[in-house]
Amino acid sequence: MTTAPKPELEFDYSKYGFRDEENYTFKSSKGLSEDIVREISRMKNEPEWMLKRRLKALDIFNKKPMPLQGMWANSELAELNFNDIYYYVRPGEKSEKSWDDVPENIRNTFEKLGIPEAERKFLAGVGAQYESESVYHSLRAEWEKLGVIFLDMDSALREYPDVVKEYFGTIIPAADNKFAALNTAVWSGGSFVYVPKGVKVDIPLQAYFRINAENMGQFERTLIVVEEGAEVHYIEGCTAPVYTTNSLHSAVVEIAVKKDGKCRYTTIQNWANNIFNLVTKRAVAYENAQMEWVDGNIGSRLTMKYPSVYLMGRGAKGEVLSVAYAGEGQHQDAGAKMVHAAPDTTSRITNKSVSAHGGRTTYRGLAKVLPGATNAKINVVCDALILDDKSASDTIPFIEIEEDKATLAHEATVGKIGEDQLFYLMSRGLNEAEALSMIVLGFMEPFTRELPMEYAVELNRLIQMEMEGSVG
Amino acid sequence: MQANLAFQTLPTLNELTPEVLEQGRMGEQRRAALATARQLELPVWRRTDLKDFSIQNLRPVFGSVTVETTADAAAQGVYVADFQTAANEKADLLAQYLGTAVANDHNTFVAYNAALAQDGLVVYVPRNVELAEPIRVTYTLPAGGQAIFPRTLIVTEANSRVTVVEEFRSADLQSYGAVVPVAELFANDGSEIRFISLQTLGQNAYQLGAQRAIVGRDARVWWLAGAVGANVQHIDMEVALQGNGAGLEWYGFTFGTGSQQLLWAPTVKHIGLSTEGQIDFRSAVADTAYVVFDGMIDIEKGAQGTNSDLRDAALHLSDKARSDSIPGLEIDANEVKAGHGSTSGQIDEEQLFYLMARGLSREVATQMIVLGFFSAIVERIPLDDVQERVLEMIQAKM
Repeated sequence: MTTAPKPELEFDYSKYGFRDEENYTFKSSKGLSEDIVREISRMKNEPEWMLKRRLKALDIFNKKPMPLQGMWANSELAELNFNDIYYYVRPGEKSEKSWDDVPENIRNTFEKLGIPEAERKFLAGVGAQYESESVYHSLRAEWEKLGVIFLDMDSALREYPDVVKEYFGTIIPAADNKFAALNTAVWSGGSFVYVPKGVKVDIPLQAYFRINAENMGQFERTLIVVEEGAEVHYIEGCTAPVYTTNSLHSAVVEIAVKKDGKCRYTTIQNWANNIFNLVTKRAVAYENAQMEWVDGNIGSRLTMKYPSVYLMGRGAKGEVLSVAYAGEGQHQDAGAKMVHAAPDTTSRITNKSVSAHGGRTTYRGLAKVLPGATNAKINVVCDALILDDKSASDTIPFIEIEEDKATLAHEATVGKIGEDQLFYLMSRGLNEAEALSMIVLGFMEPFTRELPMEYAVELNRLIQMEMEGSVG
Repeated sequence: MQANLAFQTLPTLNELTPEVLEQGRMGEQRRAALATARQLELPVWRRTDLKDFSIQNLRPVFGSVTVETTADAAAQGVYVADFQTAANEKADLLAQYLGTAVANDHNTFVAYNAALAQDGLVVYVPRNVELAEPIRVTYTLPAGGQAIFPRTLIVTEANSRVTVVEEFRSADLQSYGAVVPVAELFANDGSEIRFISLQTLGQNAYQLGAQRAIVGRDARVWWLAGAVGANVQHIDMEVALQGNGAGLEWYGFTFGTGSQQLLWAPTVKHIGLSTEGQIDFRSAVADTAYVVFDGMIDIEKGAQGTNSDLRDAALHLSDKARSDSIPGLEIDANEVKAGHGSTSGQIDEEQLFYLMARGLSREVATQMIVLGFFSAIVERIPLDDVQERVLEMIQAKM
């Protein structure tokens, strides 16, 4: 192969990689203890039941072994040192409804990330979290009038304690896994979304999560309740500057979609390459409800994330559409879980992954049909591209069928980019790098076309940037 | 055939003293393996239920094997013998190969096999010898409360070819018993082993074992694994395509009825350059049976030019049956083509309706569809009598 000049990219990595001065109102000492959990709860002035939940979860976390072996485990987790992490960092006093009230340095951060601009242009509401706390949450008045609630989770616990108590930890109990327990013990921030019966929020809500400090742990907790016949699209984005030591992001996202409701949850995760991103996301979908996870994983050192849908009501639909790009030093261990517990439920999982420069992608998934879920239909398609001989890809699907009147099809392919495809594009005048990135973007197109345009453009740029140096 | 077998029964594995095992070099190995077996914990198998089973309570039995070979084999210099005879006559061959594909400490069951293997088959095919007729071996578990430890070793030298058909059988047992087979296959450069392993054990039998093949340069393994019997089966299988250009065709079928729990765990490891693997396993499940296909394509670093494909399908015949499929891919090389496909479904009502409209009863129509489901595997069997045997095995389940 001839070496081709690198493509010109109009992209500046400092857009995400910059760091702010640390200027916090509270920063816990490193490590995790009962005192820190009590301190978090005290500073948030929480009800007693939440403190009890936190302490119980801490106990579960301490007792549960690190998942280093077995079905849903990854030996790279051994690199994570729980004692070297700040569990709670409070950047300001409260979550504001106007950007003007957000401390200037933090406001500048989100300006640089383009959030207020996006909000003005095409979003129904925006939440912004910086370290442990939400700094901004705002919803357009027209949606507020219809009874839609979009708050940071801490405010929701104060303002709607009954709703929070009804759902909190019922979809993902603290004992679900070690990281769900950790999140339940030290959670802070995250979004609370409530869409009342019949209300269709037709433009997206967005939350943006930013880690700035080194050795930071971010543990946001999100709860979305979509009532009967209601609809919502929630988008989250994540970035952080690069440090030499590891940080941890361990979120829990619980979603309930009631009869005929519809929820789409879109994530573009571009964490810096030293962040462990260990996230539990699960939705329950009731009769004829529809839940879609659109999940893009570009950043992080190690991501372990398997968005799930429990199809609990007749006719419910679940979908996970995901892409992963693993570059140097990265492992994207992502996938999906679909559990069919009711008749006539359907689900679809589409996973596309690319590994390059020594990166590793893993698709790990579960497709389960419980007895009585007659006429369940599951379709799973996983495709992986491996761009060079240093990179790797795994596919680990678990299929468990306990019902005869169910249909499942699972297909996976792994391969390299076809020489003939490259040759064709290069014969049309593209250099090799351009041809390669065009093929990879084409490969991911089923994902990108589901994103709002601004995000699709951004994702394509991110991928192109990650691919720099893939040739020669 | 069974009448010719003179079974010899040992004390239970709990009571067995190492002194019972033979003297000499083999005896030392056996005593070491017994110690290993007793040290190892039971393997943690999420999808195989051993809670009502204890191997220690079973009595090992010798004399369970019948080997059928041909005059042709002897004339061409092919060595065929039961394991104990080979241990005396072919000590060097055993020293070179035994325990190198399946390590004695693979798990406690394999270690017991290494300690107690006496019944078994050893086949050695010299260079350039192609044996047309298959070598057949049958293992019979005589009764409940007993265990047999079949050991198979097949070595084909360069450019040779052999077919081995083995079957594990028993009557329905009054109490539980076990067959603990270990097979090691070595297809050296340019040779081919065709290996057919069938399991038709009766009720209350447990089949717990490990089978592995190591395939050299331009060598091939053609393997059929079929299981319709036993209460519980757990077989780890692996084919290592070590030499450049090595190839594998691997077929399997399972038919689970009643409360059977039958698991296959086939792994193909691509190690050499330009190796090819093709796997196709099919399972039917009825009643409250549970079948598991736990397969894996593992393409190691540097195994460029690999082409590997894995298919598995499950046909559900009852709403109480369960099938699990875990068709994994672990790929550490980039110039490869690999894929898998897994399907699960029930009998197509339209097909059934079509056949019934032609005058067939529902039962017969169902049987035809099930046979059709397995026919893609059955048709590939290169021996007529084995094809017939397999059809018999499937029909007997319906």
